[in-house]
Amino acid sequence: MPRPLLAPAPDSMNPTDPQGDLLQPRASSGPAASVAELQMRYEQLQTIFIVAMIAFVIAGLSTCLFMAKQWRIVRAQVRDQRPTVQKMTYEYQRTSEKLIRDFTAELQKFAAQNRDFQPILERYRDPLRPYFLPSAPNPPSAFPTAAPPAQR
Amino acid sequence: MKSNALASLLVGAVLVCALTMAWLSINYFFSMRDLQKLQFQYLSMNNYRSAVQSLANEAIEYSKRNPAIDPILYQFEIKSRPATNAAPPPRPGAR
Repeated sequence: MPRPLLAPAPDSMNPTDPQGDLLQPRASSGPAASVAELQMRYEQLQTIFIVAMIAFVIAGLSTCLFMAKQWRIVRAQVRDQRPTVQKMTYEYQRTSEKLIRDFTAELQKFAAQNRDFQPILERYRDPLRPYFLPSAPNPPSAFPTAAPPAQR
Repeated sequence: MKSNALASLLVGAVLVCALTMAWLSINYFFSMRDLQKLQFQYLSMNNYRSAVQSLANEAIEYSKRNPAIDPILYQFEIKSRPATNAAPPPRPGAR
């Protein structure tokens, strides 16, 4: 069938690609159209950037609030527990520590004379390492924060 | 121009948030370290006490086989001294 003379001729010579003409630059789009399109894309990008920044600010504020709350909780715990633990430590160093040291020293002396007690005592050498100091007359404080563990 | 000002404002807000977060994180870290130190002290004391208590219990068990350890246990009041049959001497002022 002959083609009408006034019908627009296809841009592409490939008739199997019906959308091929869409990918081609439009003949009618001049520099003004390109600037307008760029302007539109720039504004879109700016909108996306602002939305992302708002999201960052919201996330940052939420995290700050959470962290501040956690910090306040931990600080309150430290403020509550510090006097109690300090008092306990003082009492421990004043009474229990001396008793434990004397008791282990006596048991060590006893184990030196009664070898069958030695295995029992050896089981507690690691848990009570600071108190198993080798026959020093006045060993330093055995509290772990104050003194390093004794060397064998 | 209005969008540029808003974007600058938002970037500034993000920066302020980041700085606040860093400050809070540092404070949180140091507070947490203090708390852990206190808890470690408390646990250490408890561990030593329970270890000594366990050692005393084993010593009491051992004393059933070898009473030679009894003086040590009496000295530290881990084991009660056996009751004597003799009556305690009367107090001078008692009627």
